[in-house]
Amino acid sequence: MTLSRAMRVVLGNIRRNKRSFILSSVGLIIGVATLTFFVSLGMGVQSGVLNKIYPVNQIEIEPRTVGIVGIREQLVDAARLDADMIAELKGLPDVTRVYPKLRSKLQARLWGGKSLFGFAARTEAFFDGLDPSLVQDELQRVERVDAKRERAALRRPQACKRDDECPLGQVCGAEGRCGDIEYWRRFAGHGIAVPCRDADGDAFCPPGEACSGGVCLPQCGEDGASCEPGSICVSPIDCAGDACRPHCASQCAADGDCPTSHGCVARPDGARVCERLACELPDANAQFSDRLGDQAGRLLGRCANAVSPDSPACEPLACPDGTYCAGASVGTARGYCEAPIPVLLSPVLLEIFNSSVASSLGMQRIDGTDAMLGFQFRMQLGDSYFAADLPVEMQAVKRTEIVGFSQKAMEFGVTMPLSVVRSLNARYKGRAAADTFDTFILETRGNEDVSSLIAEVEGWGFTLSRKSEDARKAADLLFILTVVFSFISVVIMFVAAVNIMHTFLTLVTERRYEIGIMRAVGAARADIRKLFLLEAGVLGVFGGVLGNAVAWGASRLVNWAAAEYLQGIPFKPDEFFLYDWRVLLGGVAFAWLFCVLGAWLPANRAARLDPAVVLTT
Amino acid sequence: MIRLEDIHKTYVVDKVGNHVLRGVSLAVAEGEFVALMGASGSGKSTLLNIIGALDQDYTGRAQIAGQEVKGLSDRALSRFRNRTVAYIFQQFHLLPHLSVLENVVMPSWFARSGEAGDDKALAAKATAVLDKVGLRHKVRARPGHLSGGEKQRVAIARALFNQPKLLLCDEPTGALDSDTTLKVFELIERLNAEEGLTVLVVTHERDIAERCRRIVRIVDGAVVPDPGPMTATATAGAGDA
Ligand SMILES: Nc1ncnc2c1ncn2[C@@H]1O[C@H](COP(=O)(O)OP(=O)(O)OP(=O)(O)O)[C@@H](O)[C@H]1O
Ligand SMILES: [Mg+2]
Repeated sequence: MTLSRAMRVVLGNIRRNKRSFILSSVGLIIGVATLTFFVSLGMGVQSGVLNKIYPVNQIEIEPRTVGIVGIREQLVDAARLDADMIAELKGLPDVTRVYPKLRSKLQARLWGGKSLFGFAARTEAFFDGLDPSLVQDELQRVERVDAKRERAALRRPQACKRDDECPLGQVCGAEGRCGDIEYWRRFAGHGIAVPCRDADGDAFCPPGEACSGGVCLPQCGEDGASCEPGSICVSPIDCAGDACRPHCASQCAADGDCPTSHGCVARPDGARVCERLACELPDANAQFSDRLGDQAGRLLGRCANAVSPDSPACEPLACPDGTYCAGASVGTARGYCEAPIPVLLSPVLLEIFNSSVASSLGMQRIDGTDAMLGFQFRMQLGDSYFAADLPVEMQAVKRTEIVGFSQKAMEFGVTMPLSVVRSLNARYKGRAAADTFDTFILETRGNEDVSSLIAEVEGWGFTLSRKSEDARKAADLLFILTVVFSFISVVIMFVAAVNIMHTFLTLVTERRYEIGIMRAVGAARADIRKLFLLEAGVLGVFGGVLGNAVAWGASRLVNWAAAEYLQGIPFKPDEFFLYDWRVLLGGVAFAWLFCVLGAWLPANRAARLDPAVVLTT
Repeated sequence: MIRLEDIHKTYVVDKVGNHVLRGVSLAVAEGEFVALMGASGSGKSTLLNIIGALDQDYTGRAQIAGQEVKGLSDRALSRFRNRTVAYIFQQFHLLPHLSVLENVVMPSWFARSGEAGDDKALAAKATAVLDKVGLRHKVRARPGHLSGGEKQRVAIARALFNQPKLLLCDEPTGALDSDTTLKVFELIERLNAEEGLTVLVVTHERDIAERCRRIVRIVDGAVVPDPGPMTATATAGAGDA
């Protein structure tokens, strides 16, 4: 009997027995629907919710503290949480990367937000720093960079030389064409000008840097061997004596080769290197002005026209686009051109703001995150509502710009690139505050490696950070729930299979004459068995596909309900389910398998029917 | 065509043996028309099942259409039933949910792949066979809507569909009235005469049996020789083996 013929006979039989076919598929549909629904939900929650908080192959560890009569003490000496510790952690088996995190060690206040909230908000500022490479993927996802690029590809790009030639919200890209701003790119190693005294040497500069001409700069020996390729070792212009340390400076041909806050400067020896653009504000108080234009400043030592900077005919130049003139302290009008410090916010912060702060303070709720990208506010370093302020010459005003949202960002504060926090900690608390870290994020090859890794670092005196611990607990719980529901669905399908066995036994009895006739006109036992197993197989595939459809429908309903009733939670996923074709196929295969198993005994009984007995009695 | 030697068959029900066939030997030549008679319960149907390869549980030798049936695999036996022998039953045994045409075509379901033609060819062939039994106009009907005689003629058409060598009829007219009985029997006779089909008919009706060229009786589980024109040849054939 050919398969196609058998299939036609089977479809005919099913048509004859529609009712029993549908009845026996009900259990199967429920079983498969349960299976795919919960497995897809488990996978969806894992990837859509948990992995965004902490991917399964990342853990964050911090030194464990033990309380002895009210005094908490760290098990790992803070001084040991340095670059050597990173190297040691990296040396652990299964660890592929180590990302240190550093909290700010200085007091700061921030204010701003008039255009966002309706009035300027003020608050104490807490911040930490992390390696930008840790969050790049997440930032791009949250910013929906792919969609942005797709939209941009549909437009005819406009040629440009400078940002102000482009439409609002666009910048002049590297290829000389206007493009949408991709804010995530701004969260990168960002050199801010950290003032220092040359006499202090490297005591208040981050590792690798030393004070050179009043700012911390990459340090080099007389031979210049320690500079990166493309950089040369130079000593500050207009400086002589022992206090003037040489520093590394990258070589350039024109201003365009340098970061925006730098200009290409010809040195007396003829070499051209990038130097920070020095600038001056009309007066020191301009730093506190709410009009951002007031901080454009005037470049020192540069003119728009080709005259000497000292000449009265010099037409002043402002700090380049994307930068502002940051005074060296709150009391000085002189400083350097600087891009705002890029910061990330935690979605949790936004949720808390929307759910309680906004309503109790009568402020607007913030829908979505796009409105906040590129938003700038000011930070006053060394100043505090709580702690004693630092001397005025230590206080400085810096601009910050929101460039993204990350689950890894500080929940009550802002997160900056690690290098910025290191520079600031060094400036205010000395070298050691920049050399050591607070927590480490360890990345492993796969999920399986994590448990043994946790055990290992716990032996070293570390413990999981609260967030990481919660994420792991949630993942474990999710896994257990998924397993439990999968088990329940398998039980449902098992019951369905028993039901199918019963149905098929009845069918065999009902069709015994038919079977006898077929056998008499030439059907082999194998043909009879094939007909029954094929019918069961069709039932299984039917039940499986319908079960998947039911699960899919139920999941749409859940998504819709979530969208409808959980409004105001900006970072909740639109999609709680992850439908993997392997899961769907697995559901159908499972249903098929249980049907065939259920029909196995009846099919063999049918095949063994003796036609002579059936037909003559 | 049929050569049986010393066939014994015992049914065991609840550990009690019922020795139904006790050394049946029978030879039927190609093209013969044989009536098989015997009291009820004498084992006629049992013998027919053995000849038709529906029953393998017996002792003795059975050679049907030149083939030793015993010991063949299920597949080979099924093929034998599909191609070489055909049955007609008292209760017709048609599939009620299929049309007349589909019932006739059914043996082709179990042909090897590529052996049976496409649907069109099969339908044409079935129509031709139904034409032969005078039911061309009923191809679309369901068996339930046919008279007994028509049903049996559909069964005959199904039996003829694969052009068998041997036709086994177990009381083919047992459920029909005398008028219809005659018509159906005449049809079987015609098939024997015109197409050279070997026919073995089990019947209780004397007058029907008498129309056959040879009558074989089962008495006490053995075949009783019945004098007739073909007997000498058949017995001689059996002796040769
Ligand atoms: N499957 C079976 N199991 C047990 N005994 C059986 C079976 N089939 C038939 N018999 C017994 O074997 C004997 C012969 O039965 P069989 O059907 O061959 O008789 P028959 O000659 O065809 O009778 P009838 O003329 O009534 O059809 C009977 O006694 C019957 O009870
Ligand atoms: Mg009988």
